[in-house]
Amino acid sequence: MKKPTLIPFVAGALLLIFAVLPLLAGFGYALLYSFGMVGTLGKGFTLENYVQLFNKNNIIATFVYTIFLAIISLGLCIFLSLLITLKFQRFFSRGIMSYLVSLPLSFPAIVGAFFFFQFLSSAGLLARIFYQAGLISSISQFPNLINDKWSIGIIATQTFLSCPFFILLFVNIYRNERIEEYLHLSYTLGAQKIKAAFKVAIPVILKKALPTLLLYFIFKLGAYEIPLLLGRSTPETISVMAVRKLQRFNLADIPQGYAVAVLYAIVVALLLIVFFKLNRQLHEA
Amino acid sequence: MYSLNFTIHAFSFLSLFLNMFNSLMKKNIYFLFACLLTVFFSCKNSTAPQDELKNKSWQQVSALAKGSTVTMMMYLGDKRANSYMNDFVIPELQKKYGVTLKIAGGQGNIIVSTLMAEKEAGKKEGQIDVCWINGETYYQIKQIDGLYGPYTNQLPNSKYINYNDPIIKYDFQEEINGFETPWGKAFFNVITDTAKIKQPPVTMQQFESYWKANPGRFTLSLDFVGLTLLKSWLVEIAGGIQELDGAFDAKKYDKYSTILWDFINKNKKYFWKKGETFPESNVAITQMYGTGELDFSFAFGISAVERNVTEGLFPVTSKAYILQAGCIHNTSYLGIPYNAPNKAGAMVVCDFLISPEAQVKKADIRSWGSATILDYDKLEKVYQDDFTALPKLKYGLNEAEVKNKSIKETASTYMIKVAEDFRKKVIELK
Amino acid sequence: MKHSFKYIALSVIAFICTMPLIILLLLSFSKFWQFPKILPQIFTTENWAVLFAGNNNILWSFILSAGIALPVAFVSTIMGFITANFIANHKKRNQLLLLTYFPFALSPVIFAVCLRFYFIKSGLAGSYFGVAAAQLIITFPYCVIFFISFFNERIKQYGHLVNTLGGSNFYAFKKAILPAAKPFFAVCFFQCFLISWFEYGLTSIIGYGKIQTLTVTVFQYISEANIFQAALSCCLLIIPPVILLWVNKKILLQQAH
Repeated sequence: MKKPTLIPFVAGALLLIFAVLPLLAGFGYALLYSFGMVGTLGKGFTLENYVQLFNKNNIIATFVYTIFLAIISLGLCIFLSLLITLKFQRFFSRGIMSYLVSLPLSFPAIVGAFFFFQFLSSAGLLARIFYQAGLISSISQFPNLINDKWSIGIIATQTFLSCPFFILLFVNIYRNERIEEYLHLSYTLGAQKIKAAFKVAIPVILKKALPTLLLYFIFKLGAYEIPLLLGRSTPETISVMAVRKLQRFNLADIPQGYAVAVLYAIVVALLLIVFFKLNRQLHEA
Repeated sequence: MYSLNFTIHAFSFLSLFLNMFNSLMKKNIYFLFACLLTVFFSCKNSTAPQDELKNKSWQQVSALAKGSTVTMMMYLGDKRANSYMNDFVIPELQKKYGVTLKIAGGQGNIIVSTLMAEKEAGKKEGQIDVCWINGETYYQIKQIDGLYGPYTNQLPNSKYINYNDPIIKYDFQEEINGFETPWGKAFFNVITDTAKIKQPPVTMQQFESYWKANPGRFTLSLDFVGLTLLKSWLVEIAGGIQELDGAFDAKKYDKYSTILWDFINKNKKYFWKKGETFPESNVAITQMYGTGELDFSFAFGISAVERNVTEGLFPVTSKAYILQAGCIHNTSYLGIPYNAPNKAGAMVVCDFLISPEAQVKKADIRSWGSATILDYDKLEKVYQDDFTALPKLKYGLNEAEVKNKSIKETASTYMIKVAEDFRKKVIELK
Repeated sequence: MKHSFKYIALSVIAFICTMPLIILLLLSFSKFWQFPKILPQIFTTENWAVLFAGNNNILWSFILSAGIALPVAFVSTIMGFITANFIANHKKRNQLLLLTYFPFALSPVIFAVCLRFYFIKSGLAGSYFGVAAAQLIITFPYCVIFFISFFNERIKQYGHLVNTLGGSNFYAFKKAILPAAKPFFAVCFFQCFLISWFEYGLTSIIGYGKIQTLTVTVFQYISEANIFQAALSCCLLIIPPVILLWVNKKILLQQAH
């Protein structure tokens, strides 16, 4: 054992103050609040807030919807990025395309949502182009792309904002894992292009990117600004629902808002444990 | 030594946290949370030395306010209101009283939850000095004893206000008792384009037939404007405001609201986007009416049409009108939170905002265009002249026209219930 | 034929990536934009001129955003580096890492509502330091995670090498680890800057709407349907990262070669 230096103490303290304490304190408070133990409205221990959530307030629908959104936009990102990586990877590893494709990375979610609203809404740019092109003759003929049933606006925005990240990630893996060489090898062994892509390139890229993909999925579960601006009144994402309940007309809803936060934290914790297991397996393999 | 202790603590926390992953809800964790909370609750707060304001003269109060900063939380969804505050109020306050006014965004519900959180944290000094509130916000803040007062009798400009006028005395049937400074009057009205619609629907029945003939061209917002439309219909169903006057009556509410929700659920398929979603705020409705996506817009205040027509957003053939139930008429107020760090400054701001000078500017259609709460008869001749010299509205309703049909607000619990049930019984209905 | 398809596809991608920025810039220079006109009816420098007319909210927000993001990025990068070094050499490495991943993965806005009580209690809510501290709670774990990957095997071996050659721990740190970490500092700083610069939900809750960073201002303009001012603030939000991205890209490339 070496002589202890100052660094471990500082590091431990930092970890405590900026990571552990906020976590414990924040979710401890949410937990107590949701069980009616603290707060102006708290009247002692009760499960009522959770019962209410599961009974009437569509908490299940909220979780399912949030997961649906995350899966669809992630799936779309993976699909597009794989396509672009396999077809054009050499253009994206350097040069002007690598810069242009990273432009959307400089868009905060709120700007992305604002832009897509201006672009896709019924009186937006796309609708105007359709109108001028004679494809529609009034606003109401333009399909719903914002606040719509299938959340097209939200998915488009999320895909636009995160696709560049995956393109750059996949292109990087493609180079680091020498996929080009494997592909050439399989061609010389007589494999078809498409088959080689599906049997060689895609599995390697996805396997390598799996932990990142899962982490991104977890992030997407917390989506707030985009569904807030482009989503429908119901179903909502988890974050939107929690904040609405915490800042709504009826004060009695506040404990339910904390209950949503607690449920969400549990889901994230479970997913993170899966993430760690995956990561370890990948390292050991 | 100290740092060693600290690290030991750090590690006890760490191990506890890891425990939480193994067994999510063990008792010791719960105990730890409780400890943590008690530590925080036992923190000492600085005490506000302003309880004595009540015995102070106005000169003393304004002397205290001089050079201070006041934070005002208000609804920021109205462009005109925002520029009135930024371009007129802020510089004037600075010039006249040396008070720096800072505006923070926040609607009623956010103000309530903020004050409640401060109350729970036991803060004797909060972050907000004055807020723009009325109705259910006032009611809910009062429930948690969140307002400072009574104080309006100390404001010199209170002399221009008739506090016995019922529209001022009662905020959604709740007496203000000197806890709120009246700031503006508003009248709920509907806007439509007379070039398209010759006979605007006034009754619910007329609306129903309009929707059926013109699907997708109507919606209402989830904020106070849309909720007021729902309340107007509730009044119409009840057969007049007399029926819903007075304190909240659950029986009556259940009876009439059931009819209302049935009416909406039956017809919402003819609404904008088939009634599957509703805009969060009336700002969106105003925009969609402007672009021709919707046939109806709603407004609080008589100048909405005028403002939007002059800005080129609304067609010039737009017209405001009043529903069968009458014109819900309310006053909005300024309140000072119980824990406002700068109550003297807040009082100076309130006083300035109800000064004839600020009210004339506010009523001016070229500025905000919001009806004054001052009593014309109580004003000096110069100020009366200022008011009469204001440009007349060309497109909106005028106040006299509205007065005949104006009805008072129902108790705020109706608003809270309508908001809650609209979500549960209409939006979330499977 | 085949080549032209490739270039068409690439141009489409390039177009999609740049179009939003161009449209936002266009809107920030416009006044009236009524349906069904494709282009705004009036082009003006008015919106931008207001920006430099003094006493302007947007400019102030820009300064405030930078005033929060720069120190937050700086402090969290350093804190993250120290803590990552500690965790990387720790026996319970994985458990500690899990701990930093948790706040990193949580939705900032939900985390913020849970922490609001303590920020109010300590008088930090609604203040500059409160918002900065709250943002540190998000950027710090990010930095730790970022630097952990740096302190992986390769660097450890460096350290061991110096150790076996007789150098002290500090010597190893100064001579081997720090120089190797240099480009990583830049990238980490840049990423933290972005996280802070982009933050809305947490900032609006902990900042009470009083700390009006650029994102809060954008939201406000959106809610009053002031699309031209909103577009202007959006441009101000995007331009610094675009420039930084250009610089950062170069850093990344330099490091690769």
